[in-house]
Amino acid sequence: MRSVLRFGPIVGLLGLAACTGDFTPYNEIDRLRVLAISADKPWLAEGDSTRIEALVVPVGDNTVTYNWSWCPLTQGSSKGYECAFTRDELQQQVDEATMMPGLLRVPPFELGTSSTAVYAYNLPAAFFSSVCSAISMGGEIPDFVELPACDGTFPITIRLTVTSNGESLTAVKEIYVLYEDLPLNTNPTINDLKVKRAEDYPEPTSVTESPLLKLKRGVDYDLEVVVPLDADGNPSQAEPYLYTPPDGSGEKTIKETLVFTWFIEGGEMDRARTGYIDPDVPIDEARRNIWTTPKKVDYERTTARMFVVIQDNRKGTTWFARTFELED
Amino acid sequence: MRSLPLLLLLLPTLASAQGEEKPITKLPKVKKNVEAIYPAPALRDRVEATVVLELDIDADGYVSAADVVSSSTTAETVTSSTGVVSVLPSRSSTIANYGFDQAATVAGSRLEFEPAEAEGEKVPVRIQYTFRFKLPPLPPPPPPTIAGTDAPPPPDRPKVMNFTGVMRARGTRSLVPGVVVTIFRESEDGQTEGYEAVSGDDGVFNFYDLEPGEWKILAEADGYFPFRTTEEVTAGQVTEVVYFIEKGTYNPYDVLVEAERVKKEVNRRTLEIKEITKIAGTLGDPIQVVENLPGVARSQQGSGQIIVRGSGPNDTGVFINGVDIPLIYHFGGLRSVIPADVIESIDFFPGNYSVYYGRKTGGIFDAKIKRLKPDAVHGSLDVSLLDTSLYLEVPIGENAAIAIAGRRSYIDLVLKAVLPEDGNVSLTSAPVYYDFQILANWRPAPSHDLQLTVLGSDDIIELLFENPASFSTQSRSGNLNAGTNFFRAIAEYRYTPSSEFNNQLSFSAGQDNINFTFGDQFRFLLQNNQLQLRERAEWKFADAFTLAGGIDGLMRIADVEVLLPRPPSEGQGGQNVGNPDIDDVLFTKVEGQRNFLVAPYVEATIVPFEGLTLVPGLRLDYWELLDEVSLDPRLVARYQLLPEWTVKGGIGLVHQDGEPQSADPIFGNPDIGLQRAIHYSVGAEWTPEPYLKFDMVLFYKALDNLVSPTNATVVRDGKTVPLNVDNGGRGTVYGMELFLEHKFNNNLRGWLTYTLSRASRIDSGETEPRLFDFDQTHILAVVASYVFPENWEFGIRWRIVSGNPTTPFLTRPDVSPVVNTDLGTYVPIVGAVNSDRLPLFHQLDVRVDKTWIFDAWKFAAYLSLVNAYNRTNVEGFTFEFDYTRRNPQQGLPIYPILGVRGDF
Amino acid sequence: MRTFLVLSVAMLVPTGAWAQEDTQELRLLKPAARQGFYVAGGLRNGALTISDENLGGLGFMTGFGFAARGGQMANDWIGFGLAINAGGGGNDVWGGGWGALSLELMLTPLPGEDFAIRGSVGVGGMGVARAKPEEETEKDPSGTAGALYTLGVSYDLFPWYEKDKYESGGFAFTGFLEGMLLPGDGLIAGGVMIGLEVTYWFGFNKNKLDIPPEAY
Repeated sequence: MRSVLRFGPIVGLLGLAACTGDFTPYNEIDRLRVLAISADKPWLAEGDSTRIEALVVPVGDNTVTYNWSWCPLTQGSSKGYECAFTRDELQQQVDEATMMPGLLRVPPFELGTSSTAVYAYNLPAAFFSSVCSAISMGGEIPDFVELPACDGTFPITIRLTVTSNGESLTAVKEIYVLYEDLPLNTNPTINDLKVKRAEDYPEPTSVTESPLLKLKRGVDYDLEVVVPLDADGNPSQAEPYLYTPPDGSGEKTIKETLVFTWFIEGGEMDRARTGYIDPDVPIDEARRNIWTTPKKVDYERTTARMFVVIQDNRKGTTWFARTFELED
Repeated sequence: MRSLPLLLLLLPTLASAQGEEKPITKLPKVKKNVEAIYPAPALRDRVEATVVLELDIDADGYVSAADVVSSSTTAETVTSSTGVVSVLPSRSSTIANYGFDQAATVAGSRLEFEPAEAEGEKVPVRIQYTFRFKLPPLPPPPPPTIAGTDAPPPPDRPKVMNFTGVMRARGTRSLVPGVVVTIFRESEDGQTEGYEAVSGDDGVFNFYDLEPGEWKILAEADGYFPFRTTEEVTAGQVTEVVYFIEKGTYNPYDVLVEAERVKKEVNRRTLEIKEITKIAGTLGDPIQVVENLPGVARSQQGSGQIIVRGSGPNDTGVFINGVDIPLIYHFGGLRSVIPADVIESIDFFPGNYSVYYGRKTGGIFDAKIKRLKPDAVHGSLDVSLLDTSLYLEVPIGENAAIAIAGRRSYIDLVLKAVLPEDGNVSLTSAPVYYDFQILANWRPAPSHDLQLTVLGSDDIIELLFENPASFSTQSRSGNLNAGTNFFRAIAEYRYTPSSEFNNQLSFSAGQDNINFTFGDQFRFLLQNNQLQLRERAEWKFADAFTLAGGIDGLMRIADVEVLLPRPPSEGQGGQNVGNPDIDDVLFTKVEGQRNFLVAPYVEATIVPFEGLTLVPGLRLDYWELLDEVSLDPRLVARYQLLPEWTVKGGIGLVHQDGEPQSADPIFGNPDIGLQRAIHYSVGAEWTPEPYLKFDMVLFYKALDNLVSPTNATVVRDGKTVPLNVDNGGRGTVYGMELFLEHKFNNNLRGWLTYTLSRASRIDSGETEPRLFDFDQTHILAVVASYVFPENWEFGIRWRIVSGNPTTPFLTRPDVSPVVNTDLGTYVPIVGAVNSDRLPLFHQLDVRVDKTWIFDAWKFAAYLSLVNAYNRTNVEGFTFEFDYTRRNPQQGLPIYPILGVRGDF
Repeated sequence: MRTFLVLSVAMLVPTGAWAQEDTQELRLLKPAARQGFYVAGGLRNGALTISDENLGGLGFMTGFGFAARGGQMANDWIGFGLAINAGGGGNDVWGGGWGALSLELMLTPLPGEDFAIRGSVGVGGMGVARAKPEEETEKDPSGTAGALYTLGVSYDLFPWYEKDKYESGGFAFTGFLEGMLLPGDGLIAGGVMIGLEVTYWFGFNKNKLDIPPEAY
């Protein structure tokens, strides 16, 4: 009984969580980063294909090389989401299972080296549903494979390795292929980003790309992301969906949550991440933030970029990028 | 100047009480004599005495009662150089004697005898024992000095008492006998006129027919500061006074040595409560002190875990009077759930413990509740930076007493004041803890002892996070509630009709509630109802053979509901790294789950020849939930090689079930079996002085069938499910413990302990061993305190401990960082388990105590500086978001603990 | 059931068992001025230097401080007490302030003389800020908390104490010289202070003093 929970660390976390010393915050960009990966169709029906792009920010003007791949079954987070099989190993398993080699060809895992990639749902849905049945009917699954949820969707892990200036970074993102007929999820959308400050922008002003908006250094600006709202003032893109809670309390319809991550190149954000949670946290809480622009001594460049990434909790992702000019 | 008890006539007469009479075949014989202390005033006044005591000797030869039958003092006869025999005036019996009664009673009660026997059976007896106080002859008197400088002998006066007083000790209010009170004054012609009296057992002293006027009083007693005052004597009135005389020191150690309990175990350490409440760096908390004993590892700050001889925190049992409790500490690990005020002593067994205990492969920790003595009303109030406690004890008649105690923390008030209003976190209900205890004792007759204890504890915290998204992209709520409470009611009956038999029966009932919810995303709800029965009977068949047997029965009925990610086990990358996907949760709900654990046991104490004690035992455990039965044979031996040297050893088998979730079908494996450990230990004790003890033990533990996580799957009801855990874990622990103890002597007390050990595990499916999560190679602790005059006490505690093993996270250039863009977090790539080690830990804690003594109460204040030289000890690491850099997560810096306490 | 016997038994004296010292040797002290409890308060002046891990030394600063102290001489050579220290100082570029709660130890190596060595260890904090806020950068230190150590010497002057009257305690002017060190997290501060305090010594109760009968 004593073992299961340690409240001590909770209390300790409250105090020590703040003590991160001189670490760079998650939302500050000072090194090679992959801030988000987006598929234009995060959920695929049989026969569909989707175009995948990434929000990559290199250091300075260094070039970036890309390497895309996909994988149906990975080894999980502690192994860095490495694929559990090579394509040939998977082909061999499939051939043994179908007992007809060549009937089902597993496409290669590589998806190219351009800045975008295309993934096609080019295996029959039956392939994925039979993997799930095999798992549930007592098939032998190797130790190191992370078991999928198997609720009508099957996760495909998209893996991107970027290299720039000698350093590399790996990013993963999941998209779902459906083997049952379910409503498809779509990405959220951002309409606009506005800035406001009594002295120079007394009215909320859209942040334009050309010409760049000029901001003063070392002061606070109120930021506002504009998202489509319905008649009640709720974000229309927080789609309702059927949710089966793991505690078996019965299906219910709930709305998606929307998480906003505010990435900046300099200065400080009041909150690195905000979220809309129906009904606890309203959308106005989530789409507003405060940016303290950097001083010259701390950030010498004359322009600074901001990226706002919005994600729903069902693999939908979108982002909005803007550049600001900083005046002394 | 020794007291000379004389051999008088032997008068065997039989006077029986109710029941059987057996003729005495062997008389009691003094085994350990004790000299009575010759009272100083009597020495000075050259007074001798004879005191006849009546002693009750029990069947073990110890004196259970000593009463004065008669006493008389005689003056010494002196023959001067001129041949004149003069007798110094004797003190008549109306003036209390010089404290001879007291001195004789004290010495008499400390005598030890070989007990009397009646037809081969040891029996208690009552005898008369005489102490004769005889002065050695004086050296020849010095030549007479110039007249007029000697104090004249007290004049003869008619006996009309007009001055009476009572001597009490300051602070404790107890009566002080044997105090020499001198009343004197200077008369007009420069002569000093004075009289003396000595306070009796009731503290009373009297003076007779004093002339009216102002008199000076001087009261003196050994071990006390002199007391000086002036009083006015009025004609025709009796002056009544109460004086409070201050002891030289109020430290609790100036009590007589108690008879050492017969030792049977290899590894038991018993700490009396007075030894441990003032250790630097602890808040006077009795359970925290155990961390400074050999075999106990240092736990991580705030965790409140007890780690003994390479066994995890769940492998050590914590009991109160043998009854198991769910929680030792209030959250944060700062304060234990039972205050020192209600505890008498703590027994700690790092291994090889008796069959009376079981179901734990690590150590046993048993706190003994105080047995109340119905003497007077006592109480205390203790205020510290963390909490306030109250204690009150009241006697009821002559045979019973009741006490209540309670405590409440005020971290909530401090936090509410300190946390910023517009911060990210607001306290819906600030962390607060309470605990309370009710004790009652009743001894209707000498052989019957009943004790009732009720204790309870409650911890609550409720937080509201304004921005849940800041924790995780998957947070759906900001409400965190956590609470734990439990209570136990324990009724105990001890029956000791003779020295050959005793029986202890205890029955307890209680409930535990542990709740944790985070919105509707996570929850852990547990309600456990528990009944426990403990019965132990002991028969002494002969000196060389005692047999004990009993039952340890426990019934638990629990309702559990859990919605959590799978918790990481020991050895799974010690930084508590789990799957960052918090939507990956497991759910289980069980209602009315019953677990009945019963264990009958037998134990014998065999003394085949003098000096050697063997204690074999056997315990049979039944485990209902696991549907298993286990047998634990154990043996402990002690051999007294020489008066100062003892060697000892033990070997024993212990079984333990896994943690509760290990048998759950969702979180664990319903087919899981029992874990096992074999304890071996061998050691020696050397006691060169009564106050010095050296103890060294070598130990080895073989662990197998350990519950260990596995990635294997199993088919149940036609479905493939993860196996989660199996009994494939093994481990070994071996090492040496050294303990040097300096009991209170010459104002100094303390101990030094050093443990050198290695603990490793082999997980299920592995072949190579890895270090145990809490393996600490070196553990050194020095605890010492020194008592200064004016009731100051200065103490230190210094610890040097190896750092805990830690699992490193790999980063550039070995591996590139990996980010999961859906979750918005980087994932650490874990290196070899426990292949790295945190830096060495060392810390000095300093404590100063000061007690002010008032007439009727005492006030104490203390200041403890923890981590006095502000060492930054590393408890773990915090990482930059992509794990490319790490900062040591520091333990607490220097901080003060301040407290005050009042006792009456 | 017990069986009672009435016997008289006694033995010749064998060796006695060791019995714990149950009385302490009590030493009564001669009355003196610097005895018993004390309370003291006073001002100090001194020089301080702070070194930051990023910016290096911040230069010498001069400042003032005050302290409130209380405690007791346990006997004629050692005493314990509590001290609260605070102060502030600065130079052209930086300003700082500190505060601490400390445990104090006093030794009088020459009993009977009023010269003492005193040291303390305590919990302290220090705040640092630029004298001119416009020059602030993100990397500026803001302060630290840590252990404060002091070591120094003092002398108590008792202008009104009369020895022949068997007095104990009295008012004193205490002059002292003290060094202090505050090794904190990222900042180390050290300095030397000289100051003057007013101390009142309560003395011991006559019951604890070695005085002739006419004195009470």
